[in-house]
Amino acid sequence: MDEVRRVLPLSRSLLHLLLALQEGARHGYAVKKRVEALSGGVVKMGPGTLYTTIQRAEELGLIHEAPERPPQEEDQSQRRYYELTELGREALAAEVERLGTFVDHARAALGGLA
Amino acid sequence: MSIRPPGEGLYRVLLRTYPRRFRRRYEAELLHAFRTQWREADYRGRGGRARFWRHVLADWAGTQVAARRSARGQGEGNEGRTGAAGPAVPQTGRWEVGMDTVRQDFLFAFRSLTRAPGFALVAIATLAIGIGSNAAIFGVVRSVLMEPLPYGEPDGVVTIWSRWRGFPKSWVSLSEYRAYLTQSRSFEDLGLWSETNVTFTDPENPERVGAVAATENLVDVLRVDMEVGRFFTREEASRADSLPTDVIVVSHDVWVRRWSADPGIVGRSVEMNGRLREVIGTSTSRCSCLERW
Repeated sequence: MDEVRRVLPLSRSLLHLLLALQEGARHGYAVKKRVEALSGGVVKMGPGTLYTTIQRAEELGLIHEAPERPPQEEDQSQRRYYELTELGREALAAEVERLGTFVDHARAALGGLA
Repeated sequence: MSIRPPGEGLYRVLLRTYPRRFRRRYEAELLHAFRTQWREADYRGRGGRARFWRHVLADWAGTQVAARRSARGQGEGNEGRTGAAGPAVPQTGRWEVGMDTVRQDFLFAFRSLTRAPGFALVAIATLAIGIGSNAAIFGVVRSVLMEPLPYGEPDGVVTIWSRWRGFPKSWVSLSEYRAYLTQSRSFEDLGLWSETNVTFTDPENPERVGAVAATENLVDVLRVDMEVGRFFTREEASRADSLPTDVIVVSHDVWVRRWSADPGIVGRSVEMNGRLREVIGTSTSRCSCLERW
């Protein structure tokens, strides 16, 4: 739990990255497309943002390169695939919990507006 | 097989600004992402391509700090994390959140500027003029007020001018100099110099240069050293009522330009104003008053 507390709060880019990888291993560009889809097209990660975020997540131990690649028909050999580590899953869950609490407090402060 | 999009060369140049460690690990993927995004933008036409480049440039500018910070974090190790099990965790997420905010602010500013190119141009031109004029003024202030004169005792050196009727500031004559030398008690020593021009008449490399005829004690008065060789002796100076003399000292600039700073210049014969002279030394680069030699 100490490890998780050390990486919180997650930056917006890290949160999006972990959310996109929560569904399974993806390569960088697939992460970008998934983040766009999850955010309704609002968040568009450029190549620099995407890979500095991936680099950061690798350093923090939140993701790592997937040892097993997807089935051949989906595979693109020149690309690396990334997946969540155990710490990454725990950090994502803790961050979502933290944000949920924040949103609950915010709603209460706004007089129960949904 | 992917077609190389126009502008990929520029993007490769931009990538070179990222830390080497980052490039080594992610460059191929960055290029791949760049090409894929370009294809999508190209499909949308001119507007799509313009938005693509705006996005790429803002993204590049906004991630410079993050990439560097990560590179430093890895290079420096994990201070304060001794005993932590599992994967290395370089820093807490708070810094990351802070940098993310900075990046977003930067991107917001960049996008705002690109939306109003006229304003951006005026703002950039204003900054450029302001910075340029500040640098120029500081250069003058520094050289005039802050930099000490290139003499051994700059506080104790003065220039004496003469004054005639109708000429409030004029050169000192040789007679006046001699009078000062014998009668003045205010100065420890006095040197005299006169500016002129001479020509190196070497047929292979003729050159007209500024020159100074000086008394033998000038370098002692100014407390400056010679770069190579020596200055004139009293005997040599007394032989020369006026230019041309038999021996010359060349300035640092002339020494570097004509003789490539060859220390063997001393004792060499040089043709000047149609006669051979012996070079006895060179002045230092520090001393601007002697640059006309």
